[in-house]
This record gives sequence, structure tokens and C-alpha cells, in this order.
Amino acid sequence: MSIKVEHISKSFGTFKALDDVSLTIPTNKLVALLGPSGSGKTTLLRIIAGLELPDNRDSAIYFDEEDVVDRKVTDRQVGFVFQHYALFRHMTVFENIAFGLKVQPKKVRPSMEEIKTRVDELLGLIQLEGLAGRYPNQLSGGQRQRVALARALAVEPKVLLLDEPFGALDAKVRLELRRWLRKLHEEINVTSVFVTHDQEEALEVADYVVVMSNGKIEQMGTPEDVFHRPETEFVMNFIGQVNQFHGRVERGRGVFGKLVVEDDEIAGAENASARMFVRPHEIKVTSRSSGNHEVPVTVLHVHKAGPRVRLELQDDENRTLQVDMSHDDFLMTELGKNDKAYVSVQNSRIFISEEV
Amino acid sequence: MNSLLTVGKNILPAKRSSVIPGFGLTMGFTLFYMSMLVLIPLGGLVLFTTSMGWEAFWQSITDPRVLSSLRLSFGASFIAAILNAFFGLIVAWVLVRYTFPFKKVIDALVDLPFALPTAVSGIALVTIYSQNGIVGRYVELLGFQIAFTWIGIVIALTLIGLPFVVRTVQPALEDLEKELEEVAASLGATRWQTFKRVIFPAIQPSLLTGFAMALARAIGEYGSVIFIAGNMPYKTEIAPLLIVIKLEQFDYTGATAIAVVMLIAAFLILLFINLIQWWNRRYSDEN
Repeated sequence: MSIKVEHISKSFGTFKALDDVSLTIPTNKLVALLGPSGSGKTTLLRIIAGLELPDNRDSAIYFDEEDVVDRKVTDRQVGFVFQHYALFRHMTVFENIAFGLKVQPKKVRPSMEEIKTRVDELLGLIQLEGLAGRYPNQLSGGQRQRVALARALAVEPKVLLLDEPFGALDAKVRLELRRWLRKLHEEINVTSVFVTHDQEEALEVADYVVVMSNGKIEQMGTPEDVFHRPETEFVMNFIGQVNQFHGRVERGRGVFGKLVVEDDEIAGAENASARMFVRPHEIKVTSRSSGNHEVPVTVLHVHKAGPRVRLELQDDENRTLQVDMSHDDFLMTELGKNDKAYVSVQNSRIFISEEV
Repeated sequence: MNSLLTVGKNILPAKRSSVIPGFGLTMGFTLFYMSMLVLIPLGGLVLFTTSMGWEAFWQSITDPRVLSSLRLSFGASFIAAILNAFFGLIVAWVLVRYTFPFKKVIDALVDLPFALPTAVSGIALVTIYSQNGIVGRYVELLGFQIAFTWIGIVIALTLIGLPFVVRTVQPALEDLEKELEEVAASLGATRWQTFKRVIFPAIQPSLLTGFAMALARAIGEYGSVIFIAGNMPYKTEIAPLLIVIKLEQFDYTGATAIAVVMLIAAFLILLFINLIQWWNRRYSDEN
């Protein structure tokens, strides 16, 4: 089941949560809606679910070919998972998972044995066999979220929607559970959309990442696309760490203080102010000057606790730069705290603001 | 006095390691307070009754007039508490779920029966429901009476019990996560199914508490009922009134016999409700 939303707008009072958003989510893919809080990602998810209605009349939501925009949440056959689980406290794990089956109209409702088989199957899927008789408050956060997921899956939803599903969990459980979700998705193959503000989570789990900001979609693409080929400044800034340089483009070359960069992207541009973004691993640091296009810096801090060494540098104009490199490369530079060094840019993205 | 204040320390020495000071003092005070106000007077009541002997006690409480007054008191209180549970839930629901003009006023009105002297509510009810009252006049055309019948008693008891249910259910409804209803809807549950299977079980413990409090209050109510009841022996005479009548006739043991029966019955009802509560909360107390 593919999902297509067209021209969705939604305001809460004077706050514009979604501004004419259109999006297509391909069949059986796992898609992340990524953005800072207030970017509209949760609102979009709730509108797909039918928990919220779009403001404008010309909006449409297609599940495959069918327009479901006028259909109530009860009839949309979506599985929804909340950040805080929203489990029914007075029901056991079994009763929670069976809820969606038990409320079906008599004509289509499975028999008690069928419900039992289905719930047992799901308990196996979420690896909680033997906990069917427990109440939610006897489970850990990770277990509760898996029960919430099983409850959503019990009714065989056409799409699975997850609102910050790992947001309430601690770091380690979070990591485990998101890998497990990736695996689960491969097993069950349901078109799934999850909301997150954690870029690492989105990049690791999703087939496609939709980056949102201020009620608009900035970019949709594979995790590789949004990380390596960001289309907008916002995406560049939001995903991964990045160093920002303010400067100008002059006759096809970018001039950012002492750094001069040549780039195909700006080859045609004449005289404009520009911003350059450089990832921490795309900056080269040497202890001796090796020629042109270098900036002299001072080493402020060296963080060695981690898989890579992270350096904090400061240039003449008191701007700080983040750089990371392998431990081997760091040893080769022979640098330490407060040493003088030279940096050059190996790869960059330049965005031209306005032609002057 | 001094020994009372420190008695808690000796009974529960395990608590000595607590970082919060004052256990001995507060526990001692609690025991003193409860003893002076509740335990000793009630104990004295039971003790006084034993002086009359089993036979006389039995005879006194199986007197048809006493029995019918007890039946009326408990029966009317029970009906009133059920009415309160039902309509109080609706009032609480409206106050929590919707916004409308004068909501604050209605919210404040709920507490009025708490504050009103019961005699005032009794007189107010009589003026409305008696044969000349603005409601009683038309009810009579339909062929029945409210004032001076058991219906009037039920109305008086419902009035004084209303705040209990509303005030206990309101916070429970306010605490109910919106997400629970949303998740139920996404799983295909209708509004009614969501109410029955998700909302009601969540507020049911507080509803039961409100019911128990309204019931307890109604059983003990005297002031408002005697105005509207008519107080005819065997018909509309409530047990607390009969106690007063017996006292006026200097039949002290007869009065305390009824009191003891009411005490035990009220205690058993509250105990039973507490047991249901305890069973209900098995999923929230375990951890």
C-alpha cells in the first residue's frame, strides 16, 4: 500500500504546522519523518492516520488509488504507535494485543481460538512469549513499546504509523529497539512511517528520510542522499555536524576569508554572498603549512575518547571549527592542545544566498 | 499523653531508619486523634449496648418499626447513591470534556450541597416538591406525590450526595490520556466501545469511591430528610430519626441498639467496597 498526500495545510491558531505539503511514500517502505520540534512532522503523521483533519478542502490522502481524506480514523485501517505507548493499564498484555480484534463487528470478528492464535503469534514476533498475563506496569519501557506495536499489528493494518516510537526509552534500549524495528519491518512488510527528531535514528533505520522544517518538506531521499547530497542549507545543517563559513562568490570562486574554493556548483555565479558548509571529517589539519588555501588555527581541545579523534580549533577571527579524524591520522599530525595548525577544506557545499 | 505521643515508635520500630523525621510524633498524634474522635465514642456505643443483654437487643432491633426504618434508610440511600453515580458521572464528564458559558458557575454549584446547612436543603426541597410547590403541583396531576413519600427521601439523599461523585470522578477524567482514546479509535473501536472498554474501566475505581462516599453520607443524613419525609412510622421514618425519637422517650438502650446495627451495616458496606477497590487496583499496585 502506497501513501500519497497532496496539498495538506494545517494551522493551530496562528501557528502554521503544515504548509501545502505533498508527499509520496512507496509501498512497503520504511520512511522516517525527520525534523526539529515544531516542524510539522507529527501533525503530518496524525493527518495520515485521520487523528487530525487538514484545513484545506483541496487536500487529498491516497492509500493506493483510494482517497481516504474523508474517512474516519476508525475506518482507515492504520496501526498507530504513540511515544508513551498508550497501553490500556487495566488490561493484560494479551488483552491489549487482542483489543483491536475483539472490538470488530460480530460478523467479521475472529473466534476466541483464532484471536488466541493470532495473539500468540504476535507475542512470538515481539519476543515476549510468556508475558501474556502481565499488566503494562510490570513491563519495562522497551517491552511496553513492543506490546504497543503488536497491538497495532494485530488488526493487520494497511499502514503502520509510529510517533517518536523510541523517544521515551533510554539510549541503549533505544538502539536495540530501532535495529529490531528494522528487522521486523523486513519480516512483516507493511508500509511504515515513523516520526523522529533523532537524525541518527532516521539515517540508520529508514529506507527513505523526509526532512521537514517549518511545516514544509525540505528534502526526501535515501539516508545516503540526505547525508551526502543535501539539497538545502537546512538539511546540510540539520543532518550531521557541520562547519559554516560566511563569504562571497567572486568570478566562479568561493572566497571565505583566507580559504578560496573552486567548485563546479558555483562556476557560473558572479559576485554574490555565499555560505559554505564543511563536514568535520572533510577538513584536513596539518602542523606545517603546505601551501595556499589554508587557514592558520589554534587547537583548543582534543577529545580522544571515541572511535575517532575530535578536535576543536579556533581561527584568527575567533571562529571555532569542529574536525574529526582517525586516531592514526591524528598521531601523524603530532598536534596537541594549544598548538598552531593549518586547515584546508577537502570537500564542501556552497549555497549562494542572493545575487548582488 | 506523653506515652500516646511516642507509642508509634514502639509499635513500628522498623521505620526508625527513615530520613523523614517525626514518625513517632505524627503516628502518635494520629492514633490519639482517631481514638478521641472515632474509636472511643464508637467503642463506648457498643459497650453501652452490651449492657442491655442479647435478648433485649434482638427484640429491640427486630421490632417491625425499627426494621422498616432501617430498610428505608439503607434502601433509599442505596438508590440515591446509584442515581448519583450515574448522573454525577455525566456532570463530571460535561465539566471536564466541554467548554460552555457559565461552566465555572455550574462547577461551583456542585459544591453547594456540601456547604448548605442540611435543614436549608430540606426546606428548599419541600417548597418545590410539596403539593403546592412548583414541581409537586404538576407531579400530583400525574397521580403521585414526591414530598412525604420515599421518593422525596431519595431526592433529598441524592442532593446531599451529588458532590462526592462529581468531585472524585472529575480528576480521574482529567487525567485520562487523550492518546488512549485515539489508539482505541485507530484499532477500529466505536465511541461506545471506547467508552465501555477504555474510559469506564479507567475511571471506575474513582466512581466506586464516589459511590461509597455518597452512600455513607446518605445513610447518616438526618437534617434534610426529616423535612421532606413526612416521618410516618412504618412508611417514611428513617433510622436516624427513630434514634432521636427513642432518645426523646428516654429509651437510651433502644436508640443505641439501632445505632450499633447502622454502624455495623455501614462498616460492612464500606469494607465490601474497599475490597472491590483493592481487587480492581491489582494492576496498578503491583510493581
